Amino acid sequence: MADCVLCGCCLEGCPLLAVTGREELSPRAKALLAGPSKWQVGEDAAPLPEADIAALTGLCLACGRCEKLCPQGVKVPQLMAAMRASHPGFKQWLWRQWITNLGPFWSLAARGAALTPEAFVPASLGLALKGLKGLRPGAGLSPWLTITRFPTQAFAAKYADRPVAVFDGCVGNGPRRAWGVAARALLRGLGANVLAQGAAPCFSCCGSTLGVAGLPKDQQDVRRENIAAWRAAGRPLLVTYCATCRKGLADYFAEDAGGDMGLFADADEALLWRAAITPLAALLAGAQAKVARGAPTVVGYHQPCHAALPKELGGGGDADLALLSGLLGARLRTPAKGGCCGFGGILQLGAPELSARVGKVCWNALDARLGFSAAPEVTPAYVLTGCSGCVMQLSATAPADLPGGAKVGHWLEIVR
Amino acid sequence: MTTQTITKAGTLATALTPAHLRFLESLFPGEGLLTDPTQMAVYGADSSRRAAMPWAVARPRTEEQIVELMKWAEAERMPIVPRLRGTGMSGGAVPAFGGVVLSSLWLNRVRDIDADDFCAEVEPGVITAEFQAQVQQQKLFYPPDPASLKISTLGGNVSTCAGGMRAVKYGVTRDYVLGVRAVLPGGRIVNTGGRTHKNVVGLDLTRLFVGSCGTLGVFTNLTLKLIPLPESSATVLVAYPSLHAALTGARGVFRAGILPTAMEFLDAKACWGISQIKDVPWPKDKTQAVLVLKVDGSKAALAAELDRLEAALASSGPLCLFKGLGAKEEEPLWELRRLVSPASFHLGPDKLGEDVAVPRGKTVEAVEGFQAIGAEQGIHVVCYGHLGDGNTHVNIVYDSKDPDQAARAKKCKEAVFRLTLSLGGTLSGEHGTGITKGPYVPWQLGETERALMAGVKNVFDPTGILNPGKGWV
Repeated sequence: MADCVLCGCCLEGCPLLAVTGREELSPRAKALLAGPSKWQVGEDAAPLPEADIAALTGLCLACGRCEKLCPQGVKVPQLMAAMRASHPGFKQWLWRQWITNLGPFWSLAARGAALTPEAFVPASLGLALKGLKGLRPGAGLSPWLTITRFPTQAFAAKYADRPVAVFDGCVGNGPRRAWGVAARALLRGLGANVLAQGAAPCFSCCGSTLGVAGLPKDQQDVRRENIAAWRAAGRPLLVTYCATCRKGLADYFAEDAGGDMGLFADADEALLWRAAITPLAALLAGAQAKVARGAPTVVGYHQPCHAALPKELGGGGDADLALLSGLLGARLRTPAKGGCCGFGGILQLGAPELSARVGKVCWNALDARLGFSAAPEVTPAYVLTGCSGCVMQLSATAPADLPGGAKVGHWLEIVR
Repeated sequence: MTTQTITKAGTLATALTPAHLRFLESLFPGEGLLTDPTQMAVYGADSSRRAAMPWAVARPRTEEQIVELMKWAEAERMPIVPRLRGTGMSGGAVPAFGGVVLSSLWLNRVRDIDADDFCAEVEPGVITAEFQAQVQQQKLFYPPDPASLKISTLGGNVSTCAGGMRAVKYGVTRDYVLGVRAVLPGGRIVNTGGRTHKNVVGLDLTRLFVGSCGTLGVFTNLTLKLIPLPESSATVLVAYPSLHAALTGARGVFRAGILPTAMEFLDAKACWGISQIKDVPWPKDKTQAVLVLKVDGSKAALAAELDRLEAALASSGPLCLFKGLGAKEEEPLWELRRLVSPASFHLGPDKLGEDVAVPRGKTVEAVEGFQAIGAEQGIHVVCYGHLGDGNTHVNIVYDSKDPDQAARAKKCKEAVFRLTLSLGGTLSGEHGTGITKGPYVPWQLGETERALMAGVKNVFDPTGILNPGKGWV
């Protein structure tokens, strides 16, 4: 990886630096400590302790905003993951954090399994790490939007009868199965050839959280499983409805574009994979809908950090925002300066208070756009997004003092 | 990364004692004080890529804390190195001679924006671009625009008298600072200037503070001048087959009586570097120089102004011309220009980033001379910058691991300085001298001038604790 030149271009994007004003949390500080050239001052200066570096650099949201701004191509989240992976005590540290910080939520995650950490390793780890705070089981938001016209012609012209598989991810597979149900109903509305149960691939976690957590072996395992399942199902179109899952899946291509790292059979398969990953919202572009009575007058949209992907990973803007803007018109409001919700990576484990502070700033930006604290009786705190991590974090950090409470959900929840 | 030899200036403290530490812990409780080297590391570095480990990092939330710190620091002869975002290019924020780094990033409130007085009061830690966005909401304009504006602070900009691309029409940071409130060593508070746009009572102490690189006092409030926001702006990017043609084009613009808001140029190597990190609109094989010009004014007048600009440029034989009307269309053109500094790292892993300025009429001679120096030494010399005001960025790109290249790079730098001075120029137009150019200051300033400056410094900071060894001392 390229080395940091300390130019500071990344400082503009870092949500942690913006919220805390603590330069030691900036991407530049992390690249300085953990990048190829490491921190060195004076030939006789003692090297900084690796354990301290690992602890400090662990305070990262893995939102990826810095790498989009870096002219040198330094990828701080990747650097941090490698650092964690190489740090021998890290796995133990991770477990300790999990036990200490997430204990109260275990019962939700366990779903009847024995409450021993070993029982979760590694398959449920991804789920567990994803901040269980927001995973309260329940039906989610009440639906109020009916799609009246599907862009069936455009879909048919582009995909015809190509088999379609849905990638549900940890949350859609777990506490929010309703998302997957809604997604499949919409695909049927489009006339898509959705693979029936049995023929559909059985996907695991996308692996992004495992990678960020410094568990590259577990990450590679789930990646291989997913590719094998996709291959066995005849390489169908791979529809996602979570921005972070989409990024997580696209990263397979970034890692093994040539097919020589052992993920893909060859470069051609890697290209097919990249081309297969398609956000559900993009397929629905041009749809029309009717709003039922009793729908909220104003709806906020939270843009996930991973909403837009770089060109080499498939590109495209925020398809969820484009779709919702079309369907909801002036009802939808997006903060001008969309901030990170603070969910990212494993920050909730290492420094939950920092994660919460970033979340608070994000809610303040939503409030400035929606005005729910100024006039709660007129404007509800009602926020939609397109990422499971953001749903959890926004639920967990929502202002507690609103008379009607805050409502947060994936946009799939409002579709009848 | 370049390492820095630590030398101690005069009679200053040489380390923190346990008593010092206890004092700092009581004054800056909790997150307000850092002493762990891992956490402090970034506070010892800046965009000059120099680094030295601070003894401690103090983060005040109030002016009172700074007053107490400065009382203590003077009594204890403790070096204090003021810092904001650390995006300076000359090592001004690097504690190369030891000491406590004072980070003012938590002093970041915009206290007042007054559309009738045309001024604003801000704390030093406000991000420049965020401030500009705020004043724009009231149809006001704060013109200084260093390339770092999205990542640097107003306090840092005032400390270095940051320039920028709009200097040709609007001037530099200095021209927008009406007053300064600062804490001096010993804890004295000084208020200079005020909210009036004219003020000739007494010596201009405000100007002394601007560009003083944290050597005279620690800012706690800045009074900034604002002007009405031009209704709109437009940008033209022109590519040329030769540097000479580009400079002819630039001259044509001024001769046509047009005063652009900004007039930037990129030489062939700068264009190539940018093309390595971004898609570029100009023909890669033929382009030897690029000009980027901005004009601003009322929407109605701008269309006509753009036509005049295009006509003025036409006779110089451009390869292609791109226009953008309004911020949205202009931004991609300016983004290319802003990327040039980091882009130069694609020519080599290390660089000496110089920012010399010459009298405007001497720019052609200077740039051709700098390129010849690079060719002679066999080193990449990338030239770009503010053609409109004679301030040229000369990036000498090399590999510090190769001792021969490093020696030639140094020779290049010194030859660039000599040529600049022979043309009546200055060693630094906007970065400041910090530690990277400090040793060369005597090449430009005479003994009398330096003695006067040392005397001024002595009045503000008699024990020499503020940012020792920086700039011109």
